[in-house]
Amino acid sequence: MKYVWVLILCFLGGFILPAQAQEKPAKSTGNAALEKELYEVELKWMKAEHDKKLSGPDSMGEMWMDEFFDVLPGGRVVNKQEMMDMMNKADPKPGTGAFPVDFKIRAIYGDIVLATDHTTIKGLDSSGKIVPVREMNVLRMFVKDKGKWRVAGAGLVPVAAP
Amino acid sequence: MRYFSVVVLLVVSSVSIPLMAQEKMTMGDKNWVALEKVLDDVNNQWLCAGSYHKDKAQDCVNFRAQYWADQFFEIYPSGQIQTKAEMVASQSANAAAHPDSAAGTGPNPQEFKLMAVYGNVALATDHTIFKAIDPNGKLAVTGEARVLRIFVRENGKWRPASAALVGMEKPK
Repeated sequence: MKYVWVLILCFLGGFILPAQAQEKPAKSTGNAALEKELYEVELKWMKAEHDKKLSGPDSMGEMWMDEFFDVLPGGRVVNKQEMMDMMNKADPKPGTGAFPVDFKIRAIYGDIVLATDHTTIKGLDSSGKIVPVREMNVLRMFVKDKGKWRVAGAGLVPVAAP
Repeated sequence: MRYFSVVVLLVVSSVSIPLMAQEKMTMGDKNWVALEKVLDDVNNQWLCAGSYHKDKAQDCVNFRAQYWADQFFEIYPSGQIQTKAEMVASQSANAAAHPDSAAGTGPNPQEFKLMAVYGNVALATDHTIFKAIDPNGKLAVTGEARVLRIFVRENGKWRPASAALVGMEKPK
C-alpha cells in the first residue's frame, strides 16, 4: 500500500510541475522587463541585418534559430539562409533600414514570446534624402534557447495608407 | 533513506514525463508529417473551412471564441492588430449584418506548411484565398494572403494562438 502512494505521488509530480511551468506570466512589471529585454534583442536583430553581420556575437547567424523564417510583404516566405543572402546582397546607406517602435508583447507560452511592433523602412529618395518608404505592423516571434532569447521569425504586414 | 528514494523518484518522474510528451521531430520525418496533418485540420476548423463550414456566420464566431487560445491576436492584411475580444466583437457585428454564410465563402486555406516546432508552440504558413458571392450569384475571389499561423498545445490539445495575414502580390 505504501508503494501505491509513492507511485501516485510520482505520477502527480509528472503532471503538476510542467503544468505550473506553463502558467500564464504575471502581467505588468514582469512583462515590462521582458518587453524591454526583447526590444533590445530586436534592435540588435535590425542592426545585424543593416550591418550585414552574418556570424559572431549578435549576428543573424547567432541570433536567429536554425528554423527561422520571415513572411515578407508581398507574401514571399524565406528561410534563414535565404534571408541572410538577401541582407548580404543589399546595399544599405547610413540612416536607412528598419526602425521598429511600439514593441508590445502579445502572448507568452513558456519559452516562446509573440510580440508586435510598428516598423518603418527608411530609404533614399531620388534626391538622396532619407525618407520612409514602407510602414508595417510586424508579428515577431522569440524563443528562449539554452537560456538566451533568440529570434524565430516574423510576419511583416504592410499598413494600408489611410 | 527510504524518503530519499521517494524524493529522487519524484524528481525523475517530473522531468521524464514532460520530456516523453514532447516527441522529438525534424522537418519531414514521420512525426513532423503527422503533426502537420493535425494542424492543417485545426486550421480548417479555425476558419470554418471545407467540411467545417457553418451555415450561420455567428455559429462560426461562437466556435472560434471557444477554440482560440485566450491570448489569441491577429494582424489583418490592412495592418490592423486585434485581440481575441476585439475580433469576436467585430466578427459578431459582421455576422449580425450578414447572418447566412454560403458554402465556400470566407477564408479557404491551402498549401499548409509546418515551418517550426518549439515545444508546445508550432509555427506554420498557408495561402488563404478569400471568396464571396458576386452580384451574379457566383463564388468569386476577393483577396489572397500568405498567412503566418501560430498554434499552441494546451492540456494536450492544439489551438490557434495567432496569425499575421500578408496580402499577396499578383505574379508579374
